[in-house]
Amino acid sequence: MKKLEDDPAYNSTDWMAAMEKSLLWGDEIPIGKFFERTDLPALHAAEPVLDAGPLVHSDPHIPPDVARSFVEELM
Amino acid sequence: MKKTFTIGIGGAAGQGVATPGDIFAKIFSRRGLHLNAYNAYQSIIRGGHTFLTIRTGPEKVTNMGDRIDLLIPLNQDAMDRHLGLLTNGAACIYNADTIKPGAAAEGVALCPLPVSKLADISRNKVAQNTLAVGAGLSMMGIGFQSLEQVLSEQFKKKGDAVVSENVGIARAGYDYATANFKSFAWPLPLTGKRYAVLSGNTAMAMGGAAAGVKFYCAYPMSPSTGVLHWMASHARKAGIMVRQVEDEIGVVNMAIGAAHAGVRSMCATSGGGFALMSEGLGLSAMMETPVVVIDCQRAGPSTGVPTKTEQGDLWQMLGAAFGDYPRAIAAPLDIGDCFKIIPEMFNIADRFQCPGIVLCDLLLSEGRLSVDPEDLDFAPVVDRGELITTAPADSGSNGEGAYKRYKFTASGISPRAVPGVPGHTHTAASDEHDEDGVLISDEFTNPTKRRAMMEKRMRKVAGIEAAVPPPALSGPREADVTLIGWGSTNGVIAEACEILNDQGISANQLQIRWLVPLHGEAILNTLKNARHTIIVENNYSGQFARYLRSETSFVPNGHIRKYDGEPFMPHHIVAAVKEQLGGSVSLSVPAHEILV
Amino acid sequence: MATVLADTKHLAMADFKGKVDPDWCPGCGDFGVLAAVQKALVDLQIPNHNVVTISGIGCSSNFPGFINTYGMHTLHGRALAVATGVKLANHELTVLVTGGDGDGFGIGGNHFMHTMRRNVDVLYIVMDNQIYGLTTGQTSPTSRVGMKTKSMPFGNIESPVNPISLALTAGATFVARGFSADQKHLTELIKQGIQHQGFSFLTSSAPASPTTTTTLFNGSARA
Repeated sequence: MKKLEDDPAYNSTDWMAAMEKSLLWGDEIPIGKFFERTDLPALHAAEPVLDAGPLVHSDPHIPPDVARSFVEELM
Repeated sequence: MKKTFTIGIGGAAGQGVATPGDIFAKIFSRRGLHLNAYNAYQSIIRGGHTFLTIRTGPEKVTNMGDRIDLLIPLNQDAMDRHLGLLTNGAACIYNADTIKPGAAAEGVALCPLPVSKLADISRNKVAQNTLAVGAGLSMMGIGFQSLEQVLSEQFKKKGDAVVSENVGIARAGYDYATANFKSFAWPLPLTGKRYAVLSGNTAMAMGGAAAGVKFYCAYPMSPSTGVLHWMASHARKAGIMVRQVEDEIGVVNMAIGAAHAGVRSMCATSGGGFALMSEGLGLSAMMETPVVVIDCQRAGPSTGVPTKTEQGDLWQMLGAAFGDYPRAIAAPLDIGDCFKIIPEMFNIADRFQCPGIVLCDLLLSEGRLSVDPEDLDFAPVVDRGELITTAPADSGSNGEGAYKRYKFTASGISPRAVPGVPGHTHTAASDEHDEDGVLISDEFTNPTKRRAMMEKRMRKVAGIEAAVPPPALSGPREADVTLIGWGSTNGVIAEACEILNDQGISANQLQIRWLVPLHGEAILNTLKNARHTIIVENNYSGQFARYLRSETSFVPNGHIRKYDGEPFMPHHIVAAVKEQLGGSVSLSVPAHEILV
Repeated sequence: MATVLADTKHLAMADFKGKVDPDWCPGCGDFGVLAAVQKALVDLQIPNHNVVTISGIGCSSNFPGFINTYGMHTLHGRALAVATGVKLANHELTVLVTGGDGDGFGIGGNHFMHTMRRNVDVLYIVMDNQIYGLTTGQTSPTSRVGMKTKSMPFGNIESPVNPISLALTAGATFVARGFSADQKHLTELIKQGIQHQGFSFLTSSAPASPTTTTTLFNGSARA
C-alpha cells in the first residue's frame, strides 16, 4: 500500500494521472485521494427549485394565482 | 338521450391530425360545450394510421359514443377505412384533388373541397386540414369568429403573416362550405360556460401539484410520459423537484428516499415499468414510508401494444411486492377524477404510512375531457398523518426509553420522524425489525417479535377501510340488469344504462373506484337483490371478476370483456346485455368496427 | 456538504454508537470503516440527527444499524437511488451511503454510474472484499480471475471491474481508496469526502481475510 499523498509529484487534480494510478494493482497498490475536482456544482446546487432552501421546508401549497395560470392554459 | 355531435379526423401520423382536433376542442369548450376526445394511434412517428374522435354536446360527454357525424379523412387510407361508418345525417369533408370517396350509405353527404383552388398548397402543406376545419365549422352552425380567435392564438408565435395566411385559408373553407354544403340538422348550441380541456395525465400531474407533491421522478414510458412532461414544464412555477432517471427501479427508490426525508413523492409508469418497481413498493411497505405510484395501464402482456388501452394490470397490483402489507389501490372513474384522486390517495398513504397505487389507463391518460375549472381545486384537504417534523434542539440523541419509530399502537400507525429532527434517530429497514427499528435477525430471529410487528402493520388495514367509502349503486334501485365495472369504464357503462332504460330494459350500475379496500361485504349487500349482474371490463380473463370472487365468492350472471386495445362504445355493451338477457350466452366479447 | 457545528453539547464517539453491536466476522475490515466514520463525524462535530446513513443489502450494508444516525437499510443495489431522493428532498443533511462490492458494482452498477455523473452530494463508501459475504461466498464483480468460490468452484473466468477507473470515467468528482487497517488515514479520507461538495467515492479495500473466508465457508446462510 502506497499513499498518494506521500508522493509530492502526484497531482490529484490531474484526471489522466488518476486513471494511470487506478490501473496499478498487485505489488504496489495506491491508496489515498486519487482525484478531486471542485469546479462542478453538486446536483442540488444546480437545481433552481432548491434555491430557496431544502425542499422539505418549502411551502407545499400552490399559490392561487399560479393555480389559476395552470387552469387557464387548458382553456 | 343526450344530443351530441362527433367528429372523426383520420390520417397518417405526421399529417397533422392533432391540430384540427385541438382547434375543435378549444372552440367547443369556449362555447360552453362539453367534449370527450380519444385518439387511436400507433407506436410510430410517421405513417400508419391515426384516428381522432371528438364528441361534443351541451351536457357531459363521457365516451366516444356510437356514431360519427362528421368524418374528415386527410388521406385516402383514412377515407377507405372509415367512410363505411357513416350513417344517415352524417357528412364527410375531404380533399377532392387527392382523395376519392368510396360508396357511402344513404343520407350521407359527401363534401369535396377543391383544395388547390382554395389555397396555395405549395406554400402550406396542411392547407387541406385548415380548409376542412373551416368548412366543418360552417356546417356545424358556428360563427367564424371563434375559429379566427383560436387560429390567432395557435400561430401567434410564428408572426402576423402566418396568422393571416391560416385565417385566410380557414375563411376560404368556411365560405366554400356555406355556399356549397348543407348544414347539419342540429346546429351546435352555445352555453354561457367555459371549460378546461385536459388529458388524464395532465389531471394527475396537476392533482399531484395540488396535493403538495414536491418530488416527481420518472422514466419515459407510454402512456404515462405526459405526467412527466407536465411536471417538468411546470416544475419551476410549482416549486417541484422533477427528475428523469435511469430506470424505473431508480424511480421508485428515489421517490421513496425523498418521501422518507419528508416530502410528498409521486411517480407514474405503465405495466412494464411498474413490474420493475415492485420490489420498491415492498420497501415502502416495510419501512412504512408513504409513496404514490401511478400505473397507466396499456395492452399487455410484455411490451404489448404501447398505444392501446386495457385494464390488464389489476393482478400485478394486487400481487405487487410479495408478502402481506397494507396498501391502497384506486382506479379513477374519469379524467376529472384523475385530478381528485391524487390528493385523496396521498392522504391515505400519509396517514397510514403505506404505498398508494393509482390504477389509470391509456383511455384516461391520453384521452381529453372538458372539466369545469371550479372542479380543479388546488386547495384540497392535506393530511400528512402522524408526522414529526420538529423537536427541541437539545433533544438527546434518542437514548434509552425514547423514540421508537415502529412503536406498537392500537391503530398500527407509529408516529414518523423525518431525518433532521433531533432526538429521533433510528434506522428504517427493509428487513423485519422491532419497535426500535433494529433488525430482528441482529439478535436472534424472534418469532414473537416477527408476529407482533406483522400484526402491528396489518392493523392499519382496518383504518384504511374505515377511511374509504364503499361503492354506491347509480340508477334505479330495482333493475332488470346491474352492470358492474371499475375505473375508466364508468362513463360508457352509464351511457349504456341510459340507452337500455330508453329501450325499456331497466339498468343500474355499480362502478368500483377503490380496489383496495374493496368493501366486499358492502358490495355483496348491494348486489344481493340484483336480478341479473354483468361485469364489464377491458381485459381477457375478467381480472376484476376473479378478484371479486376471490374476496367475496360472488359470481355474476355474465361478463362483457373487450381486449382488442380499443375502448368500449355504448352500443357494444347494449348489444351484449340484450344478448345475455336473451339467455344464450354469459360471455360477450364485442368486436370493434373501427379499424385503427 | 455543509458541516453543521453543534452549538450545544460536544459530540463524542459514544454519541455515535448504534443500538446494536456489529455482527461482522472477527477480522472483518468493516469494523475499521465503522470506527473511522464515527471518528470523522466526531472530528467534524456533525450532529447525528443531521446525518443519514443509507445502505443496500449485504454484510457491509448492515452498517446503518451500528451507528447512531438516521439510517435507511434498503434494497440490494438501490442505496444510491434512495440516497439521491433523500439528498434532493433535504440537501442540508449529510448523506453517507455504505455497501459492499456486490451491492455496489453488481446489481447497483447502473445507479452507481448515473449517481456519479449527476454529482449527487453524498459520500459513497464501498467496503470491497471481492466476495458476496452475507450469502456465504459467491464471486463478486471485483473477484480476481481464478478465485474459487461457492458459485465458481473451478475458479472465476470473468475479469473483475476496476472501481476506481470506473468512478473516474463516470465523472465522479472525488475518488479515493483506503485500507481498513489504516484507520487514521481512512478517517482523514472520510472527512475530505464529506466536505467535498459533490459525489465522493471512497472504496475501502479489505481482501477477504483467512478468518473471514473460513467463517464464510463454514457459517450458515443469512441474507
